[in-house]
Amino acid sequence: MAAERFGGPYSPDPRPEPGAGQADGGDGAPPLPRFRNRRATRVNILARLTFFAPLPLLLAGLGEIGQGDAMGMLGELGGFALLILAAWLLSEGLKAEDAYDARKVARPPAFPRKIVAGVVAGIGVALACSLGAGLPIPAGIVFGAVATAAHLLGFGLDPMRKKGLEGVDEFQSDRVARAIEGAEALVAGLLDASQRIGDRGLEARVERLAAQAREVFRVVEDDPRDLPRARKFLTVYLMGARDATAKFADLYSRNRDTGARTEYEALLGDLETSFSQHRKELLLDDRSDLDVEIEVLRERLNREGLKA
Amino acid sequence: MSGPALKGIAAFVFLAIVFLTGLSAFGAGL
Repeated sequence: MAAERFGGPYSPDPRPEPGAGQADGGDGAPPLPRFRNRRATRVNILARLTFFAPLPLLLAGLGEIGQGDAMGMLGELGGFALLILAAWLLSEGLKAEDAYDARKVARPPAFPRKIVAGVVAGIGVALACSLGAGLPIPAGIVFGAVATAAHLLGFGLDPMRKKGLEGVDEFQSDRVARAIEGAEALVAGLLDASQRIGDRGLEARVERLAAQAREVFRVVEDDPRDLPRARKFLTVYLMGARDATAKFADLYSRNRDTGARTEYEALLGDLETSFSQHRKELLLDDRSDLDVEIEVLRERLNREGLKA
Repeated sequence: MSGPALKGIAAFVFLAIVFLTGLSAFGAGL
């Protein structure tokens, strides 16, 4: 017996009518789950705490203003600013690292945020120790160095190596990584624009569309040779989808125009079909490559009499 | 000791240095 889905006529995602057209490209396959290829954001609690640990320095700096100690204030508020900057760099670095981990083909970040965060934090501690807490300068430098070392050890270094680029032409895979980065940005823009529509059903459809787009990305990442054929998809279609969504969101949030909504839904349907078609075609090409490979090898075995 | 534990301790040491620096600067200012 199949489990029955919970929900009534007023539930946010009403049960599909039996036999109604589905958003799966019409081939009977179930629609992609919305969270496919998306990861939950990892939260590193210690990294979050780096935003709060420098707070006493802020209070101390404000206290120095009351005391009239200009150098002390400079050390404490300067140290506080540097430590907050370091905390922000660290959180950006962790985000970049997550994105790097989630992808099969990735380039190292252009700016090593976590390493710079460690160094900036060390300078902040040294400044706060020597000017603020009144320690001798060498002691401040030692504390700063230990803080940098602990930061780098505790929060790690940035990913420094190219990933998934072994055995493939480096130039080619670099192009793939760049193209996917651009396309991911377009998908993020698409999702942002869909948030402004203010209609849960449509937002869910756009999210499914984004999941389908990411499926295509994974296919391209797996086989960089697909890039030339997927390039149009990665730029033109996604950009069009994003711009159309932004315009529709503006319009629909103003006047709830049902005509525009119908047209937009038709566009989403077309895009869904085209995205899944695209993915299938790219995979089909891999399949025919494999067939050719097998054919050639078997023929060769035949010719050399290794096979009965 | 395992890697994650070591990393956690190092991160904790970093936070402690920052926090205590702030406290001692606060104390010195009083």
